[in-house]
Amino acid sequence: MASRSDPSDIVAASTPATVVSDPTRRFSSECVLVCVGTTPFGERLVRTGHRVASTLDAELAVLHVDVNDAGSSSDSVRQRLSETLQLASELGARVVTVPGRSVTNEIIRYAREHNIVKIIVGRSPQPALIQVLRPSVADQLARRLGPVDLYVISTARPHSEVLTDRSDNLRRARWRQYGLSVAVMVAVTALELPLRATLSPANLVMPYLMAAVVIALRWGHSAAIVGSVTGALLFDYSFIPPFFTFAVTDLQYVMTLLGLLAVSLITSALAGQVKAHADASAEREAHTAVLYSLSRALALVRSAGQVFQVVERHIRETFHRRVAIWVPNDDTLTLKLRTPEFVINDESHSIASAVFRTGFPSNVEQPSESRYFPLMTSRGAVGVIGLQGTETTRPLSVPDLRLLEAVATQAASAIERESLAEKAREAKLLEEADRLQQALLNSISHNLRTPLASITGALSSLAEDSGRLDEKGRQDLVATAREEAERLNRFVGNLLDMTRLEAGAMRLHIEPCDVQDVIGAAVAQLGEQGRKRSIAIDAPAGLLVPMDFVLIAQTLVNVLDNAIKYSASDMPITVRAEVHDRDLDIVVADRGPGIPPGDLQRVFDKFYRGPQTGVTGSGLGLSISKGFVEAHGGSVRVEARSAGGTQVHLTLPLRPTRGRALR
Amino acid sequence: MTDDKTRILVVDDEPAIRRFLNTSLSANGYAIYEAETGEDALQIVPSVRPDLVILDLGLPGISGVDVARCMREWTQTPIIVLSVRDRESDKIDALDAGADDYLTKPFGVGELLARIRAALRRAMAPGAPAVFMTGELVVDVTSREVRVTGQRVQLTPTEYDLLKALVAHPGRVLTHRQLMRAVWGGLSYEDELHLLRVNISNLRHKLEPNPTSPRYIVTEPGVGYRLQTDP
Repeated sequence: MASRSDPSDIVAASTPATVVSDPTRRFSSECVLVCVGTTPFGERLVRTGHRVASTLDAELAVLHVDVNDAGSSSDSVRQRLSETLQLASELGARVVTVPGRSVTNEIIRYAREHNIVKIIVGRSPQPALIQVLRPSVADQLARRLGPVDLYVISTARPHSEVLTDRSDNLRRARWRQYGLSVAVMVAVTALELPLRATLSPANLVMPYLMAAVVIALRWGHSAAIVGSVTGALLFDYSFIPPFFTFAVTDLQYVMTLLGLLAVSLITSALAGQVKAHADASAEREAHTAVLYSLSRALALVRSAGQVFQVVERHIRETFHRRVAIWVPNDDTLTLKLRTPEFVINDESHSIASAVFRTGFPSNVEQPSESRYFPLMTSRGAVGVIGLQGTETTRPLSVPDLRLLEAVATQAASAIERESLAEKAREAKLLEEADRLQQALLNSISHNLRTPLASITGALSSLAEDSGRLDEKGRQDLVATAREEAERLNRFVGNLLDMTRLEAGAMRLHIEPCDVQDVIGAAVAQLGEQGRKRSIAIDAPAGLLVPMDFVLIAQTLVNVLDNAIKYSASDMPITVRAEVHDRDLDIVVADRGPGIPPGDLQRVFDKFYRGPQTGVTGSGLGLSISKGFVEAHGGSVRVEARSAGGTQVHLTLPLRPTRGRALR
Repeated sequence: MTDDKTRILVVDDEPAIRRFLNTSLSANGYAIYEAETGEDALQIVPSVRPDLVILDLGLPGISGVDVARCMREWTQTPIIVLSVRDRESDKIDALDAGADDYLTKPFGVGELLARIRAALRRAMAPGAPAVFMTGELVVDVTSREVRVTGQRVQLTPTEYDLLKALVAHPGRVLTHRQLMRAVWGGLSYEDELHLLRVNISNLRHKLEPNPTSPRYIVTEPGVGYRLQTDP
């Protein structure tokens, strides 16, 4: 780590005041971009950038290029980086993290895309040779940036600073790894000592190389360097004559020794990179798995409420934090869901609202304090997610933040999708309601006006009669008016029933009722219409079933009325009542023309009318009957009879599950 | 002149209903008095001393049921209540409070006149007749004999008590509660209603030519039963 330059410690600043050679390039708004790497200088650079930005009265932005290299994979480094980025956020900077293999390329790309014309980079002093072999980012930028002001800030630090690593644990672990590397090489030497006489040094060198590779894979790059150097020294000391001195007499052994050192350094470097990439891809895989399982869970969601539950669960389980979700409700942001332990205080809501308004995450994450992220979609924020750790929770690392961003994006689009689906459903319901309302208005208009027209006509004929009407004519007119008034009364009754059903205002008065009596009462209510037809009743005597007498009688009236209207007047109608299991089945059967098979279910729809013409009706009767029977916890179905005609089954539970009990 | 006529007080807040009742009932030889509210009605009754009251249940102010209850405290003047469909509980309350009969709006004048005549008849001859006859049914209360088309019918004591309660008020609707009080009076409503349904069913099977389409003991849906006087 120390051997490398600080490729990602960059401060980029842009101000419109800078003269630029390319006139076609538009200025961005006044903005200072701070881009930090994994070194301890990040904080210093961010503060410098902040000062520059305030002096120029410009915005501050911080860029971090995540190259996923071996050195940055330790927890302490990640923590340092996320602290730097947090500081940047606290100073009001826009924080940007981009993945990439070349820091220089990413910076140049970012600068071009965002019209940044003034870049300040940090650079550590390096030995001249290394500078030639591997130029620092600052040098590369200076060469390639083009018409951009570049300021290089020295990030030299006193030696002691290197040692003040923030994590003692990490340092201890590192030293342990070095010790183990040395131990491995000592062990290899000890094992090979007995073979010194039989094998040539060219063969004896092989286990050292193998050991170097193993160390690199296991403990990384720096441990491998320690191991390689130790191995070379031990090999020289033990196996190269003169034995047990570091002196080398034969030139060919110098070559062997240098070869060992070079090969083991290179292989260990390669192995270290392999390990870093393996770690990184394991992490990416874990992230992909999280995103995959989230997207799968979100795909199966059926309601907006479930979306929130899924998102809450995934974030809680992935980031080990309590989660709260706010969504806009009309104009205010309201708490939709939270992990029960999530502590809501006075600030929570105002921070969440601010995050929702600005679309930028909140900054601070102290232990046990909450952090808030906007749920962004292309149409703006659709909510806010709050994350709350405990005293012992590890701060979010950069990859964590990146994953969280991806999770939040997925959650946001799922929430948006659900809310759009909900809107579509509402629109459909509204359309359906509209259609029904129109049908209702048409029905009311027709079914009220037609009888009123007949009545008015009949009465005015009688009133204005100047003796031309004979007695029969007068009686006809009176009978017409009367029949039409009765029809009007029936329709109004139906409308009332339907309205009460829909308003849920149906109060059942359930009492034991004699089934035969209910059917008889229904036939009696049909009046003249019923007496003219042959209606056969087949019901067991004295069978008492709990039901609302009036409603079931009304149901039967409606069903019988249909059977009478839709079948020839000489055709018999039967009403049969039987007990099956736990149900009473009342079957009303006619020999009418039947209902088209496709319409068997639709007959219960409001305003559905049979295909026959010349039959008057409102299309409400069966719909109401269904409502009445269902209010009893029963069901209604219509079947075609095998020999022609229709039968309607009313099924009522012998023990009603719904409705009011006995008074 | 009006003193000779039967006096009927019409209590209804709808002018159209009062007007139509006034016209058609006057034409049938009754003297009609009108009241718009229950309060008016209770004030008029002592001075008019009507022979019958037609009382709408949907009155503004004090309800028709309360008017019936108040009147019953000091007079047995027959009361016919007018109600709309779906208000069975109002009808039951009014009948239990002492109203004699009910009619559901809209109704025909013929039906109303029949109810008026029946109610007036019952008021003239209170108490059960010794022998009640309707259609083919004969009930002799003194000898506890029941005959249908001349054939003696065997009834259980409960069935007979139930029939006797109906015969005591021929043509008048009796609520479930009134019948149950007359026959059992002491059991729970639920048990009694059960017994009532079973006994009515039994009675019909013994008395009616077609029990599924009864002529004598007719059902008033949700309210009670009525013994038809002119089947």
